[in-house]
Amino acid sequence: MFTLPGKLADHAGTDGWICIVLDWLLVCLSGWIMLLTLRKYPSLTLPELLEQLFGRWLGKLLMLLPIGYFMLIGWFNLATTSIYIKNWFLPKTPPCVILFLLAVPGYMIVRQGPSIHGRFCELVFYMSIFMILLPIMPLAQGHWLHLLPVVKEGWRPILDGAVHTLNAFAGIEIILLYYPSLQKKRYALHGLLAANTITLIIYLYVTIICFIYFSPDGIARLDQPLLILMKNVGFRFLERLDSLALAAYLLVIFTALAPAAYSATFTLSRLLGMPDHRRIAAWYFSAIVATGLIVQPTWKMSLWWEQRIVNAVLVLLPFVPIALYVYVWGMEQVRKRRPG
Amino acid sequence: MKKLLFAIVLLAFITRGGLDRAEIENLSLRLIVGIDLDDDGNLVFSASNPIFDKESKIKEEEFVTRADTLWDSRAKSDRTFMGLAVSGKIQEFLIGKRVMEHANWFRLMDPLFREPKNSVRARMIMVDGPVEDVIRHKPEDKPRLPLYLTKLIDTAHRKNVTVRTMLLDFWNQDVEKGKTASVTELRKESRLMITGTALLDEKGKYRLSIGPEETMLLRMLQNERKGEFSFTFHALFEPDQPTITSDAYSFSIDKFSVKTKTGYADDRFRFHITIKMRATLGERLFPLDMPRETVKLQQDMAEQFEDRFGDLIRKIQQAQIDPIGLGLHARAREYRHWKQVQDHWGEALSTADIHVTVKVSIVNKGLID
Repeated sequence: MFTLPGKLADHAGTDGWICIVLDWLLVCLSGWIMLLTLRKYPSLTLPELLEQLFGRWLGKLLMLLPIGYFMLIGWFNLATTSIYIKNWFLPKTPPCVILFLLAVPGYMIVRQGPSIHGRFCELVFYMSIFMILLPIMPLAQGHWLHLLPVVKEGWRPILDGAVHTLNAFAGIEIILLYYPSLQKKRYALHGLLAANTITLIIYLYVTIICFIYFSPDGIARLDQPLLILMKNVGFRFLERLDSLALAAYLLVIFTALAPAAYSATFTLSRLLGMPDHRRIAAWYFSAIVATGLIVQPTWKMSLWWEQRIVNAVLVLLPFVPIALYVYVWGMEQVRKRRPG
Repeated sequence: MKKLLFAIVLLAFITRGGLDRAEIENLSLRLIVGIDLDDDGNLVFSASNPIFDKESKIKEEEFVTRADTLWDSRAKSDRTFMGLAVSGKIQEFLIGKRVMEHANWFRLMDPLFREPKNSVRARMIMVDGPVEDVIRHKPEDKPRLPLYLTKLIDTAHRKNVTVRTMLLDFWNQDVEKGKTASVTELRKESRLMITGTALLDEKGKYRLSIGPEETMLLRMLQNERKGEFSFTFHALFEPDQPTITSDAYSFSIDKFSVKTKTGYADDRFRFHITIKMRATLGERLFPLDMPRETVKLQQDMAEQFEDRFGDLIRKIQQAQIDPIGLGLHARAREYRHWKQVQDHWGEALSTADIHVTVKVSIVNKGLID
C-alpha cells in the first residue's frame, strides 16, 4: 500500500488510478470463477479437493504449488515488514530480532483455525479504519489538475500499470482454503465482492491523494509516497504522523500474513499426513527467523522477490481459476457420457 | 507457567535493545541549519541547537564549519557539540542568496529525504546577506532564535506577506515542470526583517525578489485562499496630495475565486484568469457618497488590481519563471502542446498571452458612511 502510488505513477503517470479499477474488475471475476468451482465441492479442503480432482499422486504433487506460493507470500510479508521497521524505527537492531518479534504474534494467530482468523481480521479492520482519516489534510492542499487529462498517453501504459500492480489485490486465493469453513456459503460471493470493493476504495483514496499532492513529475522518484506525505502533516502535539501510521499499519500486515501462512502450513501438514498444522507452523516461523539470521533482508532482495510474486499472481489470478473450472466441467462431461 | 515465565524472560532479554535507544539529553537537536558560500566559494554550513542544561547560561549553541555536504557537516559538528547531532527536528533552513544563485543547489538537501528519521517540515528561507549573521543573532527582546523565526514566518505567512515553503513543498515545486519554486526572503539589518518572497527558476536558481504586496497578489494568482489579504490603494479619481494623503483607502479581501481558462493559438499559450473578490472596506480618507458611488470605488479597485497583476505577470514572464503554476493548467488542458515545451516551460510562458480580469464587490463598508 505504501509503495503502490509510486509504482502506478511509474507505469501510467497520473492515470494510475484507472489501473486499480481494472485490477479490481479482474480480481472480482477471478474470485467469482473460483467460487463457481468450489461450490461443487462445498466441504472439501484444498488438499482433499486436489486429491479428489487429480488423483492421489498428481494431487499431492500439485499441492506443492500452493505450499510454495503461500510460503513465499508469508515470508515476503514478514521480511518486507522487517525492512520497513528497521528502516523507520530500529536502524541498529539486527533483522533477526525484528523477525522474531514479528514471528511470535504471527505464530500465535496462525496456530488457530480459520474462524479465529476471521475474527482477528474483523477486529483489525475496525481498529485500523481510523487511519483513513490521517492523510485527509493533504487532500485539501492537493491540485486536482494533476489528474487531467484523463488517459493522457493512451491505454497501453494503463494496462501495463494494471499488470504490474495486480499483486496488490492478491489474497482472494485464500478462499480456496477458507471456503469449507464458511458457515453461510450462499454469501461467499457477496463477501468476496465487498472485500474487494473495500480494498478498491482504500487504494483509490490513497492513490488519488498521493497523485494530487505530489507533482506528477516527481512522484515516481519516491519509494513510499504515502509515508512521505504523512511526514508533512504536523500537529502542535505530534510531529511524526508517518511513524505512528506505520506502527498502526503493522496490525493490517498481519491480516495478510496470517491467512497465507495458515494456507501454506495447513496444506503442508495434510501433504505429510499430519492431523494438525501447529507443529508445521512453529517450524515455518522458526525457519523464517533463521533465514533472517543467515541472509539479511535487503531492499534489493525484497524487490526481486516481489517481481517473482507479481509473476506468480499474474498466472494465478486470471488463469488458474479458469483452468480449474474448465477441468472440472470437462470431468463432468466425461462422467455424463459413460454412465454405468 | 514455567513456559510463560521462560518466554517473558527470553523476550525481555532479546528486546533489551539499547542499540536504538537515544536519550534527549544526549542529542543535539539541530533546529536551524544554514548553508552559505564564503568569499572563496566554499560551502559553509551552520547549525543552531538548544541546550538542555541547568548550568549553561546561554541556552543555544552554534557551530559554523566548512564542509562538502550536509551529512559531512553533521559529522563535523559532533566534534564540538555535546550530544549527537540529529536532523529530525529542523525547523528552518537558511540558505544564502549566494548559494541560491547556483543551479541545482537543492541537491544538497538529498539526505533529508533519504533518511526516514529526518523532518521534511523545515521552513525554507533565503537569506539576503551572510547566513552566519542570522544564526548568531541573539535579540534580547525575543525568545530563542528557532522559536522566534518560526513565529515570524508563520505570522507573515498568515498575513500573506511571504510564502511559507516547507522542505517537502519545495521538493514538490522543484520537480514539478509546470511550476517554479518560491521561498521566504529574509534580511538582517538591525533586526530580522522579512522582505518578501524569492522566486527561483526551473533549476532552482534565484531569479527575482518580490515585495510583500506582490506576494499577496501572487498568492491570489496561485489560488491559495488561506490567511488575510489587505491592501491600501490610492484612488485614481481623487487628486494627488503629497503630504497627508487623502486619496488613500484600504480594504481586506474576505473571499475570492480564481478561474483560469487555458487555450493555445498561434503557437503560444493563452491564459485568461478571472478573479472575483469580495472586499471589506477598512478605511477611506476622502469623502464619497457611499451607497450610490460604491460602484465607482469597486471599479477603481478592479482597475488597479488589473494593473498590478499585469505588472507582476510581466516581471515573471521576463524572468522566464512560473511561480503561479500556470503550467499545471497547460498540462491539464493542452496536453499535446504542453508536452513539446514541458522541459523549457519558463521560456514558453514568457511568450504566452496572459490576461487578468478582476471583479470586486464591496460587501461591507463598515460602520460609517
